Amino acid sequence: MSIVLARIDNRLIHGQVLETWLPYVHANCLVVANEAISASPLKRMMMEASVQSSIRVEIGSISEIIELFDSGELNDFRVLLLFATTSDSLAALHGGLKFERLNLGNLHAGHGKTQFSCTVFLDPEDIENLEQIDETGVDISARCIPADTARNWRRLIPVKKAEN
Amino acid sequence: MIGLVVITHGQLAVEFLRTAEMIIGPIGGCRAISIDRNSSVDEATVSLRQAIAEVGGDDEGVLILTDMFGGTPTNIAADFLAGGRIDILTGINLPMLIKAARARYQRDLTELAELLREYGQQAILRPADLLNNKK
Repeated sequence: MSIVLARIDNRLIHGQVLETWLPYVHANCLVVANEAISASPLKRMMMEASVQSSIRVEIGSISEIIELFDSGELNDFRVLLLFATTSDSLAALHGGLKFERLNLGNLHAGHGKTQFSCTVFLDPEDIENLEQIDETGVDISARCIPADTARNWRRLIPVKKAEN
Repeated sequence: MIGLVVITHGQLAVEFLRTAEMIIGPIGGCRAISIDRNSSVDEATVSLRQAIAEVGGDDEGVLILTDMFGGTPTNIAADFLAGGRIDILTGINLPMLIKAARARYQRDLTELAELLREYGQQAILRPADLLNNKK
């Protein structure tokens, strides 16, 4: 397996990923596993167009991406793999994708979510998903950009909500 | 009048609008949306939908101006692209916004977008070139 970094980022391909993470992990291939984007031709084209031509880009649904990795086509690439949610990353693991490290980048606020860091918000389902991923031996840490300090996800504690 | 929505990373959108108004006076039918580090994509999408509704009341269409292709503001705007009704231009600069505010009457949305695409790029000049090209 050639996945040098798996990252959960609900913004998928964007500035932080292109300008900081890609060069930091020396990736030459960017893979997005996401149902919604793979179903929107315009957004696919725009995301593909935003990546420099020296980087291979593959955008597909989770099952398409699992098939792609199974085919061996990406064996010689250093791949940065992007998911939008914890459940997508768990589904990919269950589908046979292998990665040693999972980076929590941008998981933003939503109904029922608790804030754990400036860009990581989790609800009970997220925590359960991350537990299951953790049990398979994947090292999960939170870091928005390489310049930030990585913190193991178990070290994250809920940020106290400000009094309303 | 074509509606305008400026959506960017950080406070650029708010500052672009405020600065343009400093130069040409109040600009009606224009909203600014800021996407910061903590912004959720879902919330930003709701804000953009609301802004489009607010400025699109004349039924002449809405032009969305963003800061950078490939960035989150542009990716969020992409969901709203609708031929003839909602258009998008990236790489907003101040001359482009001022021109947009002035040129959006008696023009349809596609004409305005194409005009500004050229105008914005022509607004980038290098004064030293004027010295070198003495005519």
